[in-house]
Amino acid sequence: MPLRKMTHGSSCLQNRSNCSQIRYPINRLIIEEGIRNDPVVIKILKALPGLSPEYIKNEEIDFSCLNHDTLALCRNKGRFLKPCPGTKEYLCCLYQFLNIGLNCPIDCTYCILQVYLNTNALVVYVNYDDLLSELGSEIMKNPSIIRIGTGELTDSLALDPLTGISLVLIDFFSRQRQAYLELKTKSDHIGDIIDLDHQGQTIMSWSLNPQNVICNEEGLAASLNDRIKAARRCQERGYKTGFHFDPILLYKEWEADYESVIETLFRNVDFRFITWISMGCFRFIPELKPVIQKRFPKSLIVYEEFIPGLDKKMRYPQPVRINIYSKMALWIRKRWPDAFIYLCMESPEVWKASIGYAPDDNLTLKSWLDERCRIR
Amino acid sequence: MLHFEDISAIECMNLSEIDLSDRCFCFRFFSEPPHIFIDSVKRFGILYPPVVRAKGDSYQIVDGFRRIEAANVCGIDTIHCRRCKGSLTDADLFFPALSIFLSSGQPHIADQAAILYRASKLLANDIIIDVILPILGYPSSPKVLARLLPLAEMDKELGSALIGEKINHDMALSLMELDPQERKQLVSLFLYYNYSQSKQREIFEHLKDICKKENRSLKDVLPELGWEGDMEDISSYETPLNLRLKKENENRLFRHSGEGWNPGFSNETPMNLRFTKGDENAQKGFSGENKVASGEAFRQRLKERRFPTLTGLENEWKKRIKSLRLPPSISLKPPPYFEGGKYRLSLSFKDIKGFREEMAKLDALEKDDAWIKLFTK
Repeated sequence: MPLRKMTHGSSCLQNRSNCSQIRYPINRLIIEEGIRNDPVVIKILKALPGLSPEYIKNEEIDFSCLNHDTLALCRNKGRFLKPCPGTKEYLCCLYQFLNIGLNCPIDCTYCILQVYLNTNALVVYVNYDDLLSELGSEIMKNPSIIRIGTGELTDSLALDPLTGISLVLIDFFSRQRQAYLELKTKSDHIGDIIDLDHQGQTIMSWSLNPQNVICNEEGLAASLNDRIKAARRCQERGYKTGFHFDPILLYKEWEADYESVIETLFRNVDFRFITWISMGCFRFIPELKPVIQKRFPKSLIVYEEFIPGLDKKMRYPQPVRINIYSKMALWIRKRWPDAFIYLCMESPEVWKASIGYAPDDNLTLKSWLDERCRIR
Repeated sequence: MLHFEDISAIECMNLSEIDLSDRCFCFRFFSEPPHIFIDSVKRFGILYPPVVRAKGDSYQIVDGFRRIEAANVCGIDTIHCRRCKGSLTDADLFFPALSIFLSSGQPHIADQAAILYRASKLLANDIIIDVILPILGYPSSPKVLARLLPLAEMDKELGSALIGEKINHDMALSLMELDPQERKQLVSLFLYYNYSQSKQREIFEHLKDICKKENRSLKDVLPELGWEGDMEDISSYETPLNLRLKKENENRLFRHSGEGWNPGFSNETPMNLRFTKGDENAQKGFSGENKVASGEAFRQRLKERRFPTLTGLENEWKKRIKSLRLPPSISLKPPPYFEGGKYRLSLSFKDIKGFREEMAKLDALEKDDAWIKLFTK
C-alpha cells in the first residue's frame, strides 16, 4: 500500500535536516489569544508561512470539533508530568510521562490516541517555562532515578523541527544526574539535536516494525531504514539508544519479517550502546476497533484472534504472545547474547515463559531499567 | 390542503382506469395483498372504498392499494371508490394520504421506512425530519432518518424477518451492508435456527471478521461452516407473520371450504435449503430432531474458526477435566480466556457433614497427578 499523500494545498512541516521526505498535512492553525507574542509561537509561525493563524480565547477553543489537519498552540494549564497509567494486573516499569502536546501527525492505524483524547487536532503546549519549572521541582522531590518520556500522547520527535522542544529538554536533562529523558519516535527528525551536549542523560529510542507494517499501518512514519540510520547517527554522537518492538503485529509472514528487522538492526547499530529493547504485542481497548475499521478499512490488524485481557484490553491469547516473545528474544539474543529485554504490560507468567525471567514486582522492574540508564 | 368536501361521494369506476403502477402514496413495505385479503375481496367485494384522484388520463391511487390490487387479482372489472376533486400536486396530497393511512393504526418499522422513502421523492429533507419523523413518533433528527430510510431498500426476505420480529432494526441495517445473496444466506441461517438477537449479532460479527481476515466472501465461508441454505421464499419459514397468516388461512379454508390445508406454508423441507456433506448435526436439526443442538454446533464451528487458540485451550481443558472424573459436587473453572488470573473452584454441600466429605475429596484430589497436571502448561 502506498504511503498516504499530503492533502493538496496544505502547508507542511519539512525536516530541516533533510534526512526525511516526511511531510505532515496542516491546513489550519489555531493559537490561544494570550500567547501570540510567545517566542515559541513566533518560531512556529515563521516555520508555517502559508497558514493564516486564527487567534481564539482559550476557553472558546472547542477542541472536540478540530480535525486531524489542525495545529493548535496553547498553554497547558494542568500538570505536564504524569506516571504511566499502567494496570495492576500486568507489570509496569513505573515510567513518567511528560506531556508536551496531544496527538501525533504520523497517524498510525493502531494508535490509541484516536479514542483516548477528546480532540483530533495536533496540540502543542508552548509554555516551556512552566514545563521546566514543574520538571525541576518533581526531580528535586524524587530521591531515586526517574525515567521520563515524552512519547505517550504524541511522538517525541515528529513535530520537533517545528517546536524545538527536544532541544530544550535535552539541554535541561544534561544538567540532571538522577533524571533520564527518553525520546521515543517513529520519525528520523534528529537534525537539530544530534550535536547537542546531552551528557548521556538522554536515551534516543525508536519504535520498530517491518517495512510492510510501516507502509500499511504507520501512516507518515519514517521508513525502517531511515529510523535505523538515525539511531546509528545518534550512537555515533554518544547517545544511548533504545528500541521498542511495540506494537508487534501478528500476520501470516510475521516471523520472517520481524527476524529480518532484527537482522537489519544489529547489522547497522552497535549493541554496546543499546540501553534496552522492549517488546509488547498489539493490544487495544475495544472502542478502538470500530474506529480503525472506519478510518482504515484496508487495515486487517483487528481481525486476528483477540481475547479480553485482565485490563479489559483486547490481546492476542497468552500462548500466542508467549510464542511471539520467545521467538523475538531468540532472534535478538542470537545477535546480542546478553541483551537487556523487557516486556511492556505483561504478566510475570508471560515474562518467564518467553524470555526466561521476570521481575518480582513493578519496583524491581523499575530498578532494572534505572540501572540500565546508569551504564555509560 | 385537502378537505372533506373535496372528496366525492362513492363512485363506480372501471379498474382499467386506475393506474396500478403509480406507487406515489403506497406506504406499505409489502404492498401485495395477502391471500386472506384476496379471498375476502373475492367473497365480499371491497367493503371500504379506496380513494383515488384524476391524474392525466387515468386515476392515481391515494389510499387502498391492497384493496385495488386484490380486486385486480380477483378479476373484478369495476370497483367503488371515492375521488379527490381539484388539482392538487402529489406533494399537496402527501399529508392527507399519509393521514388516511395512519388512521388504520401505527405502522410497522418497515412501513415507516416506506413512508419516508415515498416522502423523500416528494418533500424536502428538512420537512421529512421536522414534520414526518415526529408524526411517526420519532425525534426530529437526521440520524434517525439515516437509520430508518435504508430499510425501505430491504429485499423481501429481510423485510419479512424484520416485520416478523425475527431480527431487529440494527441487524437489518447491518445485513443491508451485505450483497443480496449473502444476506439471504444469513437471514435463512438466523431464521432456521431461531437465533436470539445477541447470538445473531455475535454470528454476524464473527463472520464479518473471518471474511475480512481471510479475504473471502460469506458465500464461501458459510458452506465451510456447514450452512448452505438460502431462501427464495420466506414463506417456507415460520416467522410470526407467516404463522399468523397460516393459522388464519387454515381456519378460513377449513371453515369455508371444508378442504384440507393447502401446503402453501409447508412444514416440508424447503427445496433450496442445503447442508454441507458430513454436517450431521445440521441435517438432524434440519429434520427437526435436534435443531437447538445443531444451531449451537454451528456457533461452535464458527467460534473455532474465529478463535482457534482459545477454543483449542478450552477443548484441552475439557479433556483434562474429563480425565479427572471430578465428583458432581465439585467444579473447577479456568481463568477467563486462560489469561493468567485465577482458577475458580466451587463445592456444593448441604451441611457440615457434607462439607467435611467434600473437603476430604479435595484432599484426595490434591495428591492426584492429573489434578496437578491441570495447572501445568
